[in-house]
Amino acid sequence: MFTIKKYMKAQNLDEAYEVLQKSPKATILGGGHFLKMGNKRITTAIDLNELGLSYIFVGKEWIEIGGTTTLSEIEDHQFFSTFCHGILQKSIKKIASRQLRNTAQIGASVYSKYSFSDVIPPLLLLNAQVEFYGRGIMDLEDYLNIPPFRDILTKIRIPNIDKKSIYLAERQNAQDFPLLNLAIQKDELKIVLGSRPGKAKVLRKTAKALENKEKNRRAIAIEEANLGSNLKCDKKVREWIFLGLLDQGLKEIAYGN
Amino acid sequence: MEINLKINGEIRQLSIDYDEMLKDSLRRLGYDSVKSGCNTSSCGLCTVWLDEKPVLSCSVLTIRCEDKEITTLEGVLEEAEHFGDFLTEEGGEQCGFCSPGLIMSVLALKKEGLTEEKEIKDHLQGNLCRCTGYFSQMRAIKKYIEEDGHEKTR
Repeated sequence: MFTIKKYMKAQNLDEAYEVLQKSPKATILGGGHFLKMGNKRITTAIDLNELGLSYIFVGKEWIEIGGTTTLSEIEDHQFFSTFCHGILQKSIKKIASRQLRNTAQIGASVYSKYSFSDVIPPLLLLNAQVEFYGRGIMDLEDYLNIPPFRDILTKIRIPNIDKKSIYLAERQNAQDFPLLNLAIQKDELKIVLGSRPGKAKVLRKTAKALENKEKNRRAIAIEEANLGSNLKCDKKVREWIFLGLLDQGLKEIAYGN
Repeated sequence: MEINLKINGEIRQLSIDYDEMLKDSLRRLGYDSVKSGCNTSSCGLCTVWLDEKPVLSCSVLTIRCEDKEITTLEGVLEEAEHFGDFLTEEGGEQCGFCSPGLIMSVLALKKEGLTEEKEIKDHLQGNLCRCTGYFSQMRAIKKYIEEDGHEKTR
């Protein structure tokens, strides 16, 4: 369990950003669920809940989701039930419990780059961008692949382009973190793999090999996925799950409704 | 620090540490329906409503609840007793330790108007029970929701 020396209900982003930069042990509070599992000694806990960052805006070109928007707000939003075949809602509905989703915030899940995240693979699939108060806008894929930095994730932007997309995850039980998760998009085939157990990854070589029907496409997929072992699952088992999910996903994307 | 919490419509003053969780504050104030289970956001025993939405009080900082409405089982006793009748009728309450959290989630899902079995199961995914095997609970929930539907259409 973490400890908090000082609590700050931020009045504006300037103030929150300044404290975050000045104090190395200052921490932004998201939903607090994962933070609670650790033993962090927080000097200043920064609460962003009063800053109006909890919103969903559906524009003509971009969909914007505020950093403190809860997962259940996305889950209940009418637009996301059909957008890209409801992929974002489908992935969110698999996360733990309704009670947790009522407080867990999307900005915290993305900022923390959780490797087991249910929400990052679909966002990567949808070419999401992340906007930081200090660093500005960058592609989510770039953000996942650069070293961590201290900043405030203010919003997530998704291009408003509706494409057939699916999300699949394998887990030991309904509430658990995924052992492996996969998001696939049609038209120009795009495949994103999460819980490898490393960071989620776009499998470009695999998509190309599948589209060209290359003979060794399964070997290419396994090599590119670069799966590993952790306490939850062995590398070999992950490879079997991956090939199974990939087959299922490709069938669903080709023939499913 | 001193804070005011609005619990079941009543303002209660409390001295807290910044890292105190809502579950512990509520139990200190005598709201014993709020049970302490896993403390890892998994079991649902500590479910209360925060601004009418079910949340896990073991993982919500008390200090973040200052301007919010907190509802525990003690605040919805009449409705809880009504559902409790269905639960006992169907044998859905055995050791009873998970019942307060389950009841708070069931009353919340009824307010949301969920009636399909799949929706109910999805909604209650975070309320674990080690005794009943869930079948008796599901029977009770369905009858409770159906009865309410019949009453409304009468």
